[in-house]
Amino acid sequence: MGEARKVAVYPCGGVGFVLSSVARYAAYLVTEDLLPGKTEIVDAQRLLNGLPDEVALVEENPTIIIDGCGYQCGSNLFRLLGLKPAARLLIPPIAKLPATFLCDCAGLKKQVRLAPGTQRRVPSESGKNLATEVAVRAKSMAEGLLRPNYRYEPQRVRQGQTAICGYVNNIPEEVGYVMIAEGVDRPNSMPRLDWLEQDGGKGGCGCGVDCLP
Amino acid sequence: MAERVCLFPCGGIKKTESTVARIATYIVNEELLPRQTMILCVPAFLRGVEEDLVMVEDFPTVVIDCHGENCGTNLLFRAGVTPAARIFIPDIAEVTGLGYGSSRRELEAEALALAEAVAGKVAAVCRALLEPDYVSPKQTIKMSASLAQQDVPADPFAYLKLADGIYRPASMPDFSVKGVS
Repeated sequence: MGEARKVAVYPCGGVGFVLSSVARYAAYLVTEDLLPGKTEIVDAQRLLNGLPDEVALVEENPTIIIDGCGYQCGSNLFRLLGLKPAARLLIPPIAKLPATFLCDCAGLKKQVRLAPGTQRRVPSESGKNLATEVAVRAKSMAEGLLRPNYRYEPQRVRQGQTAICGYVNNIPEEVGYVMIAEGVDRPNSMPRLDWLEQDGGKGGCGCGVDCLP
Repeated sequence: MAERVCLFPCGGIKKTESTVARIATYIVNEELLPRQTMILCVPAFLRGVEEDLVMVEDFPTVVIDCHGENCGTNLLFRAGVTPAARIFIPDIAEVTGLGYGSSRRELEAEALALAEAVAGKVAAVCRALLEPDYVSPKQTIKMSASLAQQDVPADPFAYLKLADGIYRPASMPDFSVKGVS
């Protein structure tokens, strides 16, 4: 068990729903703009294909999953692979919260709409706002995971045959998620996210972002 | 006769090539052949979402591989599904001379032109698969698979090249790609 040097960011990887485009855009924002070099995007297809660098990325580093919709396919893929994320962000509850990525001195928060929109190729303005909000939360989460007091135990991808394409009703129960704040979860078997969980699991102010000292 | 075609862009996210595959798929699905195509979402497929299972079992699938890593093809092989056709983007990039650019989030103009060229090929193949005389064999998903392991043989479907960037598994019905360069 040791200190994490990098955080893997895994957006659900879908292509059909607009929310998956928002998840993907958020992951690009974190890994390219907000924490380049300290975060790396997880490519589900390369991972499924067993490419060594992609497998090593999720085995050796803590992962933040960004699930786009209620199907929670990102969490399910990790379940199939026998891996546990360090934390999970679920977009729909975050879309209902006020934006935190803007200063409120001019009342901007009330004007900003966090909604996925309808464009799958590149998210619309409101979709980009939502992606930015998710990205800011992921950045804050990643910074916490990179602190010396967060200890990560490397994992190993499950070997052999795995049952696929079977519908699981309750993904949070299967993964063992405990809710830390709205849209923020962690598997109960993974290290606590102390900077978020000091308030008895409710997560400081509840937003999951401004709780970092 | 197939009423619709399932499009499976490799679904990658790390390489710019995968963005080209995804955008090409949206162009076909939203502009060129709306209501005649569906998009396979791999995470949902592995999750057991009914519509994603049905679309690969009951309809012909066109897989779009963006790179020689062949992630799309290999995923279908793991799941026991044989595609009706495969589009290989590097071939199309080579013959058109168009590049991928460097932006994964939003394609640059040249990469967008490549996505449009790929979409044209995909749509041409789809039209051939939608012809009345094309009979698509029903597929049966293998409900267990090895994941995240390098155990798929090279060229698992023994692809035959039909035109630049267009391939067909040796075991699948032939189709005409006349007029497609």
